[in-house]
Amino acid sequence: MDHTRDNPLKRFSAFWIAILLATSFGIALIITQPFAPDKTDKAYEMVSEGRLEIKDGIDRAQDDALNEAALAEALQAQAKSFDKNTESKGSMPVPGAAPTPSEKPAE
Amino acid sequence: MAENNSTADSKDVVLRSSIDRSLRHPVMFLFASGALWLVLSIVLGLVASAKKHNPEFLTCFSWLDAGKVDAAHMSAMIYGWGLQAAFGIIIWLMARLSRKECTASGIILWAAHVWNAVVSYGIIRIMMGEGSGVTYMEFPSEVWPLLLVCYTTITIWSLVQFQVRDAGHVYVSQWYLLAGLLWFPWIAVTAWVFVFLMDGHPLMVAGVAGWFKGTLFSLFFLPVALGSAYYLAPKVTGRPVYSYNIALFGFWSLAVFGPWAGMEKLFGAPVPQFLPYAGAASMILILIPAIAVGYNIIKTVIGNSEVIAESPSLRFTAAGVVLFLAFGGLSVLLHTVPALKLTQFTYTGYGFDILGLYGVFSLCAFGAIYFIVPRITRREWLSRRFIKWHFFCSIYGISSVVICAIAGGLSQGQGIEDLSQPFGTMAERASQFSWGVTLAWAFILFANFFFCLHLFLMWARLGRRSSHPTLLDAHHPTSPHGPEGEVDNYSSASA
Repeated sequence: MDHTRDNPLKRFSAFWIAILLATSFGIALIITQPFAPDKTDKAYEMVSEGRLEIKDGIDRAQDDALNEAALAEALQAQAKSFDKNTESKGSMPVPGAAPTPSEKPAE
Repeated sequence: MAENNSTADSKDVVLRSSIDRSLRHPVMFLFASGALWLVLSIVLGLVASAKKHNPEFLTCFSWLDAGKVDAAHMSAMIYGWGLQAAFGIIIWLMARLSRKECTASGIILWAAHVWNAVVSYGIIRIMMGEGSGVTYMEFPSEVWPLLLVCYTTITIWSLVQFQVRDAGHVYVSQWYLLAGLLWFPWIAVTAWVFVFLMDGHPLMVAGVAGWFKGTLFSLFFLPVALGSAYYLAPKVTGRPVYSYNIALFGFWSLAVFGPWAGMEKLFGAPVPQFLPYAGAASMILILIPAIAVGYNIIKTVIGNSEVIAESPSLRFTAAGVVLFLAFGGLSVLLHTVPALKLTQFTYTGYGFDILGLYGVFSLCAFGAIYFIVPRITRREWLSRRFIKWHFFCSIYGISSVVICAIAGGLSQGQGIEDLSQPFGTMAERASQFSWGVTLAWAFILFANFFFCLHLFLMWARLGRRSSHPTLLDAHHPTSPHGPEGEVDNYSSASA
């Protein structure tokens, strides 16, 4: 048996080599990340300017078309007649509502 | 000359005994807590399986929803049981084969406690619905760095022991253990960085997770299981490994084919087509190391059928190696292009994963535990009946899980392919098979309940005080255990 293989210096260096080996994969990934190809989709990048212009145009047109005064007036009219709403023939029953007197079983 | 040999032998006996003593607490803690996690994971597997044929089962508990319980079941099996059992085997075998006492058992024990706390935290978060949703990496992202630190703290001492070992022969087991020790940080760090740290494309995140799932078995669990089998087969039979060349071939074929496994899960996904095909090809080629290892170990133990029948360690190990051959054969059948269409979104993958994790790895790990525990506790196993129940219920259970899940999955796959049928028919096709899986998990739970109980009794040093190992010989004229009370003269010499 060769006992010169086992000494504190050897153990110390083996410990740090093992730490380096265990972490080397993470270190390699961190080092190589800046050299990884650009993640941007080239086709998307090429058309993105035109698409953003169209989107801006739509947003502007919608903002211009919005008549806030008319909208507020319409909401006021709805609010005033809200309490006068009555159940129509086609309205859905409320789930779990209490039975009407006519549906109550005879006691 | 004979006197010199005798002195060397007695020195070696003392050394082995001191190695066992130095590792007693961390190894027993890892095995015992691993066994508890195994029981918990089987209970969760039982619930998950029951939900497949009876979706209303336990719906009153939101933390037991099907998605959560499935994820918790696999996470508990992999990180609670599998990795802890592997740690125990690695640190004991490496110390024994390097002939070095462990000088950091306190640090390992501390790291093992942290590992258990972190796994518990991860499982609770999964149950709360806060898991990552990434297959086999279900724990939330903050868990992974802690697990990696614990892994390094537990296993680094084995690398140091290998480096400072007495010059001479490097055993086949050491090749596998060393490879597994170094491959795990590679796959775990890479997967963790790409899945949780880097802002990658979600499709490639799925690809990396698939690769991690494949390689966790082929590059970590499998090397540890085979390292243990290559130690126990010659040790228990008292014969050398049949062929070192075949062992070398088996090792390098696993090293070449193993790292490509996993991407077959992306079959049909919009990724470069070579990726799933490379994954499927590597899974098919796993048959090569399976045949090499299976042939080598069977040739090593052949002619010793009595020893296989009597020794709990060898019986479990031989069963694990035979199931590795079955794993290789099934891998060929399930990874061809027509089969992948049927298995892609079905129950089959689960059966195949369980065959690897329980059938191959866990049976080999049980073999190692039945060998190691009496040596570190200086007590023999209490009951051969418990061991027999553990073995037969495990074999029956794992065979049933695998057959039902694979057959059910293939039937499901045919249902998906049959476009003339409504989609619900596909689920109905698998229903009766999932009943079989539930029943099989019940058998495995029964087996491992007694295994866990037995292990805790051994940990409490309530095992038999005898130098005669507990053998599974049912036809012994008096007792197969031999006389009691000889433990004071016993010094692990039989190891």
